[in-house]
Amino acid sequence: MLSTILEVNNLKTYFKKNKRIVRAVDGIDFKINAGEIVALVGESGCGKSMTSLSIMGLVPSPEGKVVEGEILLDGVNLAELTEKKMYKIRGKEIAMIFQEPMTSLNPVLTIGDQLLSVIIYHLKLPKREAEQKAIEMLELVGFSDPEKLLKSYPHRLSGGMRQRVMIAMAMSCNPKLLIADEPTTALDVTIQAQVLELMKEISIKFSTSILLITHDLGVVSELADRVIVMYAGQIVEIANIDDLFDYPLHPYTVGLINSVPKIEGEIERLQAIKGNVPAPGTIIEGCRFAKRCNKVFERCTKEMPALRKMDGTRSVRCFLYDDVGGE
Amino acid sequence: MGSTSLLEFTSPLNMEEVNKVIEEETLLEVQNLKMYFPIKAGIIQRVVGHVKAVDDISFRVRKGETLGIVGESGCGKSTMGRALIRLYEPTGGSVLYDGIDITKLPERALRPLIRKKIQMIFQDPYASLNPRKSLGNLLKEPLKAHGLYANSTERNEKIKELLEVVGLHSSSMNYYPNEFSGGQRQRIGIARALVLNPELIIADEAVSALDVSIQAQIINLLEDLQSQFNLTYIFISHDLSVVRHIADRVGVMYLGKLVELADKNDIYSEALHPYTQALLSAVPTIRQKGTINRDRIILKGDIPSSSNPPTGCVFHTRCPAKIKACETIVPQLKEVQPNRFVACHLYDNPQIV
Repeated sequence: MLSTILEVNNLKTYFKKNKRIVRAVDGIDFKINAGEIVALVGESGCGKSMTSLSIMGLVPSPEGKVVEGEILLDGVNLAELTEKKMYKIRGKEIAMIFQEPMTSLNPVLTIGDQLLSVIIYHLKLPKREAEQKAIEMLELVGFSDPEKLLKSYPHRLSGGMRQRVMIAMAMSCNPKLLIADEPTTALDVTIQAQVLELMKEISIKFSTSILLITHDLGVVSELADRVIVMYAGQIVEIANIDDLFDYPLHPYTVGLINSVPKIEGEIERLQAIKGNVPAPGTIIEGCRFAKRCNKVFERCTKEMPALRKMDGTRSVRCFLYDDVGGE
Repeated sequence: MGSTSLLEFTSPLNMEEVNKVIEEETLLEVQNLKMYFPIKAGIIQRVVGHVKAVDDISFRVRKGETLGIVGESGCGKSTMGRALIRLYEPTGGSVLYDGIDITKLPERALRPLIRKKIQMIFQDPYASLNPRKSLGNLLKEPLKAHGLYANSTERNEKIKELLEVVGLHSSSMNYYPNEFSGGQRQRIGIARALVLNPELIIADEAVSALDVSIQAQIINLLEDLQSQFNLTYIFISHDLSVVRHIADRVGVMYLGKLVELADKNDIYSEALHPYTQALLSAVPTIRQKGTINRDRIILKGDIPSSSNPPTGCVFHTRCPAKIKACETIVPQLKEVQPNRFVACHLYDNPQIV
């Protein structure tokens, strides 16, 4: 059995908005094993980004707060750590890359300044060795002239290059977990292919676990080992990558897969999911997907289904599978 | 036009052929369209160069078809869409709509003709809707501007009907744009484009900002409207899967140039241009049981700047199949097979194809 790197138990992150409480993340449980790439999938507002920010301890405060649950990184509960202790974790144990790298790079500092500060702070290396390490990292992510790059400012780089700098920075302290929040969404397809390839190489080389957050099922299929599907703040399905795309169980997962136009093969008409994603903070009785579900029956509108374990790796939150297998 | 006289000569059994001729009637013809933006520098803002956003592009759009235009950011696809209807004044070339050259028309003549018959749908509908006007007023505006319908009641009727067509409740007339979700706003954007009964709709990344489940709804809606109102679409998008789904023919742009243009099935099953091949292979796909593993061509480097494009073929700096001629000679878009156009020196010699 592989060792567990991250374990999230009953995590709840709530927001206060106009005196109402928005349950952005509403009781989720999952695990990430060593060296595994786990994708967190869902549409906007499903709580996937808020989950990652909760793990990093970056939930916007004071309006947002992790109100309940545990986030265990190698047995240490991050939810209880002080901000000072989180400083030592962020960047060292868990690193994060974002959708738009320009917003996470400081425009008035050179790439070298920013990369070195991370390495010096966490690895406590003298400047010369840190520089050596920085050059090594930049070469690793595919830059041919890293010495020159260290002296450049972020605005001189293209989107793809910036994202590679971010990956170099994230990997420089050899983190246990890399959280990638829509890492290729802002990139063009040919550049996206480069970055995805790089992330694959890196996860193998460093045996780093990756939590990949994305809305793009194609990217998931390229990169992930296991998939967690979220809807309206809850997990609706967990499955291995092949199981998920070959035999999706939850009607929402089925809908998601069917509504994506495919590059191969012809479909006459896309099967859209009716209705809209519920606005955050809407209180829904019963199953949260019931209103849009094409297999809805009476029980769905009255009771909330639990996330049930089906077999070894698979869980689903749906009454349709109440009598099938599992515990 | 030609189609009526054709009917007289063809036997009724040959209706299929007639339909084909009508179908292939050209609605829009673009000839050598150029859109350059000056780069200014210094105190007196001297022009020191040009960004060649659209550089010498020619193609036809047939009546009733959907022409997909794909390309990565900065390839000039959106600029081209805008230059077509003179939201930018093209630097050169001509755009013939039903035989009339749009680029030569004075602004006054443009309105009744082009501003009515060609409409645009944008990526972010919220940015193109006035937040201080109710939906009803937003949709009534174009009708008033073009002096359609005699009175307010008739206009209201028309708008109610239109809202139902795009899948919104007619009571939403009194709501303001901020009260709608992203998908609903795109429906409003579509209603706004349809209100003048256009013939051609240019959709610029119309579904790119939407969640997949909503995206599918809007794509289906666009398809329904096309058959219902006999619309012609130019569908500009970076999403190759969406274009495969919606388009009949596809044009591929790279750094201001059209590098390939062909029927959708030809492009997606056997692309000719090395850029198209790389682009298609780079799209992340859902792998299900039975999905064939495709070879991935990973292009090196980034897209060069369009203010200083490479000499010869603009793609030669990244092309895996580069030959000597590519560095110096600009390849022209040529018909290498019936209805298949490609701009690449690999196909200079017709025997190769």
